[in-house]
Amino acid sequence: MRCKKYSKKLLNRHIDNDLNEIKKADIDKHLKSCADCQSYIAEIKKIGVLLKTGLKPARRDLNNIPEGLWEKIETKLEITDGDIHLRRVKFITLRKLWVPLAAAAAAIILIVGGLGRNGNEFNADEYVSEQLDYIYGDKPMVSENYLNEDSNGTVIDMVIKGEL
Amino acid sequence: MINDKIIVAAADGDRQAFSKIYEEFNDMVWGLALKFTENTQVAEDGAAEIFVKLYKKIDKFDFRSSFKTWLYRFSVNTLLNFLEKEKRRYTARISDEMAEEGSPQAAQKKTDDKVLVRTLLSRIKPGEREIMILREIEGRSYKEIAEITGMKLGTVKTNIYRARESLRKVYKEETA
Repeated sequence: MRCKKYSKKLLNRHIDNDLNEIKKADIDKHLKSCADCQSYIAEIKKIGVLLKTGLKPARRDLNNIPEGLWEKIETKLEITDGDIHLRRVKFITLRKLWVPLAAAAAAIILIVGGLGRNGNEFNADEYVSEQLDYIYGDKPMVSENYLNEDSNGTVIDMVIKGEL
Repeated sequence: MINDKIIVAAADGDRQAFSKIYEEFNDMVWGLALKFTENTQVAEDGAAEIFVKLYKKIDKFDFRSSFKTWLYRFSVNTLLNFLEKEKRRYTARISDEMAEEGSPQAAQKKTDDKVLVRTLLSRIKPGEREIMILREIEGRSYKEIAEITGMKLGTVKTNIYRARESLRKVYKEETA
C-alpha cells in the first residue's frame, strides 16, 4: 500500500520543481523517512531518464544526413502531387463557387418573392381548369400557331413563339 | 528562415516552398529518426516518411504553436507509426547491423533501451505521448507546454501526472 501523505500529483510537481519552498521542504523532509514515496519518485525519474537517454543518437551519424535523402523524398512527392492537386482544386472550386451559388440563391428568393407581387399572379384553380379543358375540351394541347407543317399538313416541328 | 507564407505555399503544393522547409528542418528530422531507430538505413526511410507525410498534411498546421514544435511532435508520431508498420523489416536490419559490428553488449543495451522507449511511447494515449515528449524529451516547462497545447496550466499538471502514471504502468508490464 502506497503512503497517502502526499498525492502522486504533488510528488510529480515536486519532481518538476513546481512547488513553493515551504511545500518543497515539507516533502523533502517526508522523503527522508518514507521509503514508499522515495521509491515512487525514483521510479518516475528513472523512466524520464530512459526516455531521454534511450533516444540519444550516435554522434557520428548525427551530422551525416544521407546525400540522396531529398531525391528519395522528391520521388515519393510525385505520387503525392495528385492528392495535393485535388486538395487545391477543392479549395479553389469552393472559393470560386460560393459567389455564383450565393447569386443563384438570391435570384431564387427574388423570383419566388416577386411572384406574389406580380400582377399575373399564379392561380391554381384557373390552371387546373385550363388543363382540364386541354384534356376533355376542344382546346388543342399546342396552339396551331406554334406548329410548323409541311405542304401536306404534317407537323414537322414545334416552335415556341412569344409568351406561353 | 521559415515564415507563414512559405508554410501556406507548401500547403498549396508549392514544391519550392516545401524544399525550403526541408532545408530548414532536415537536421532536426534526421536527428529524431536516428534517435528512434539507431540504424542509418531505417532512419533514412523514417526521415523520408516524415517529409512525404508532411507534404500531405502540412495544411493541418493551425499556426497556434511554433511550426518547429508542431513538426517535432508530428515527426515523433509519424516515426512511431512507421516503425510499428515496419517492425519486421526494422528488427531484421538492426540484427544485421549488430552482427556486422560484432554485437557489443553496450550497443545491445542501447538498442534495447530504444526499443523499450518506442514501445512505451506507442502504448500510451496520443495526448499522453505528446505531453511526455514535450516534458521529458524536450524538457519544456509547464507554462511552455500550456502555451504550445492551448491547455490550462492546471490541466497540464494533471495530464503530466496521468501520462507518467500510464508510462509507469506499461513500463512495469514491459520489464516484468
